[in-house]
This record gives sequence, structure tokens and C-alpha cells, in this order.
Amino acid sequence: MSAAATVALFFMEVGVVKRFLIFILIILLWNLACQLQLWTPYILPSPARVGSTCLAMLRSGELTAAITISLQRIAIGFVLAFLLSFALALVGCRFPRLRPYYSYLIDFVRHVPPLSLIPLLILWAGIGEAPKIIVIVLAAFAPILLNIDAGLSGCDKKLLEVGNVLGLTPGQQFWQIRLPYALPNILVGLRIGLGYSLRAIIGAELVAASSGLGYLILDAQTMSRTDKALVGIIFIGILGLALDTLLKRLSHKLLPYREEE
Amino acid sequence: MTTLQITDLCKSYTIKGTRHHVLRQLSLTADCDRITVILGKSGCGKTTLLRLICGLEGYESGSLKLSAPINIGMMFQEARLMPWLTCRENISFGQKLPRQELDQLLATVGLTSFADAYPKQLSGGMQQRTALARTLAQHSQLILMDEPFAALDYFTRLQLQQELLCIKKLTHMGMIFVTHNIDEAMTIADTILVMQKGRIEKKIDLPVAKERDLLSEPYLSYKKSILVSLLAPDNI
Repeated sequence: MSAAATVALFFMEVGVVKRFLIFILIILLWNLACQLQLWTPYILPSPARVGSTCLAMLRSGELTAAITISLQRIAIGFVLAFLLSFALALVGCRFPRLRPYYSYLIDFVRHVPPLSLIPLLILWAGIGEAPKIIVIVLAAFAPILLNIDAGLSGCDKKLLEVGNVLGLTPGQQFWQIRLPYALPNILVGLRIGLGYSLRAIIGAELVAASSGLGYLILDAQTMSRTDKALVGIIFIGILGLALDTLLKRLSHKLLPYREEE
Repeated sequence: MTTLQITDLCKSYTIKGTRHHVLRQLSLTADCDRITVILGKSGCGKTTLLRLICGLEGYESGSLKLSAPINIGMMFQEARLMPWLTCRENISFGQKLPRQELDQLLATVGLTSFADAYPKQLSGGMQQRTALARTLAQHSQLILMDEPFAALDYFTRLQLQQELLCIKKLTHMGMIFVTHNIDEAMTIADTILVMQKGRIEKKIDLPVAKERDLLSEPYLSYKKSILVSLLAPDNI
């Protein structure tokens, strides 16, 4: 078998081709639309133009800096949202009687778009990093909380009874039954929350930002640089895909019993 | 010899405002080193009785006393294994077992080659064997068994009944075994307590020998007597 055939077989086997086929198709169609001059290059720059802009931005360090700062904001916001949701889910699980006192507030907050709070956040938290982080936290908090809460509170009572019969203390029951039971839900919450954090980055960087992928896109819009905006959008997508793949890998590692069906 | 003495035990549940009496002044005495089978139809209160004995639920009145403090284990109708743990980890769940003892338990229930399998990869019978090993690992002097083989096919059920009798011989632990299957009761019991409508209606002490031909006397008479009790018109 020739080397090329071996490589082709490898790609077929790992499913890489299957996963990327749609992207290749979109780029081909995009290129065709540009060749046929269906739209002006201002409205739809060609893939080659976007590629060369991307390379130039990488060389100048502009893109790397934007990715780094956005990643930092996402990481801080996401971790804070996770800690906050986990703490609240724990309260709901340990003291279910307290739940009615805050459940409507959570439902209220989760239906308010974080973007709508930006004017108030600027007034209350200034124009530094704080309002940007708060926007991400507000976006990611609710989906993570709902999933962790469903996992911890929805623990199978029959398994908890096994813990009772075996003489486990409430603490041991939490660590040995409730938490492992909730783990699949927690990981789903994290994946959804991560998606929401990435989506919120544009909103977060609307707040007087001078760096980051969101800022890059907004700046490109102001400067009528559609190619730069597209580079920003593509990299937010790539970032999301990469982070989600990492979380999926983590799920596979932590939940081997789900894979071995 | 430790004895379980239950006197006038009452328990009821309220469902949608209606009170349902499950145990009605139930009294029984059971030796904790024998196999006592509680036999009755579905809904007669057998499971509730076991749940009260092992402390999973409280009762309203009456008394439930052991003549000496002993460890009580419980095996449920479903295996109730932790899906994220392997067979081996499930057996040692909630307790620290020496490796050697764990291997011995796996061998006792015939699961040595499935030690690293997850519950989803095990058949119903294997899952119940894992649950049995987990219960045995507790070193309880008395094991409460709530229809543990009810969901299994006929042949697996027969096999597990025989395995249970072998384990009983080896460990000398007592069992209170709940079932609605008359043949199962007569295969494993030292004593059968026939339960209906929240009370013990009849007590039958069986011959000591466990190699029993259920199609011969006195078992046919026992079966007839149990059926007469359970099929009485006001009990259907």
C-alpha cells in the first residue's frame, strides 16, 4: 500500500474526513460565490483573502493577543459561573426547603439577556474587566446550575438507600453516591456553559474593550474590514470546538462506564 | 441464639389523602441464624416489613426487638449497583475489604472473570450475584432479602437458590427472605411465615434436610395449605 493510501485510510478510519467534509464543502461554495462575483468583496471577501488576512494577523501578533485575552476572560467567567452554580446546587441539595426562596430569582435572572444589562454594569462596575467577566458569568451560570442541580437533586433514591443500609454517613453518601451519579449531568452543564461563555464574549467585549476576539470583530465592523471580522468569527468557532473536544475527552475519561456499552 | 421479636407492628401510608394500612398489628418471632421466608401476595406488606426491620422507615406503633445487637444487611429486589463502579468495586462499596477477601467473594458468587466489568455489561443474574457479594461483604449476622431473584428467569433463579443455600452452609448467617413464590419458599426455608393483609397468618416449620422433592409429601400438603390460605375468597 502506498504512503498516500495509508494516510488516506488513516483519515477515513479516525473519521477526520467525515467531520471536516462539511467545512471543505462550505469553503468551496464560498469560493465559487466569490468567483462568480455574486457579492462585492466588501460584503463577502474570498477565502483566500480571509486566509491571507489571518496569516498577517498571526504574524503581527494581533490575533494571538486577541485569543489570549478572550480566553482569559472566558476562563475566569466560566470558572466563576461553575463555582457559583455548584455552590447553589449544593445548597439546594442539602437544604431543599430553601429552594422556593431563590428558585424564582434564578428563573428571572436566566431569562434576562446578559447584553441588556451592559449599560447598568458599566454604571455599577465601571469599564474595567469586572463587567466583562460578569456578562460571561451571567451567560454561563444558569445552564450549568440547572444541570448540576438536576444531577445532584435527582439522585436515584434507591442507590441512596443502599448507602443507608451499608451505614454510610451523609458526607460519604454525597461523595460516593450523589456526586458520581451527578457527574454526567455536571459535565453536560459544563459543555453547555462553555458554549454560552463563548457566545457571551462579544457582549462582554462591547464594554469599552480594547482587546479580545469580540473587540476584534467589533473593531473590524467599524473599520469595514469584513475579512478581519470573519477571521475573528472563525477563531471563536475554532476555540469553541477545541474546548468542547477537551471537555468531551474529559467526559470519556471520567465516565468510562458509559463508553463500554 | 439471637431472636427477632416483632409485636403488634403497625404501619400505614397516606396516598392522596387516603390512609392505607400496610401492617396491621403484625407479630412474629424469627431466629436470626435460620432462613425464615415471609411468603405472601403482592401488596401484603412484605417489603414494608423488611424496610422497617432494617431501619429504612419508621413504624407507628408496636415493637421490633432483637435479643442481642447484631449486624443486619439487606439485599433489594433490584441489584442497585453503582453504574460507575466495576463489579469488584461494587462488592467492596462502602467498606474496605482486603484483596484476598474480595477475590474470595468474587469466587463465591462465580464472578471472578467479570471482576472488572461494569453493571451494564452483566446479565441480570450476574448483577444480583454482585449485589449478594456486596451484602456478604458486610459480614452481617442477619440478611434481609427482598425478593432478590424475582426478576430472574426460572433457571437462574433455581441456580441462585442453590448458591444461597451453599453460602448459608459456609457462613452460618441467618436470613429473612421475602418472596411470593411458594416453590422458592419451600426450597430454601427453615420456616415459612405466610403473610396476608399486613399480618402473619400461618407458620410452617419445614424439615431440616434441604434436598427437597417439592412434588412429594410433606411439601405437597404444605403447598396446598399455603394456597388455601392465600386463595381464601376474602384474600383474593
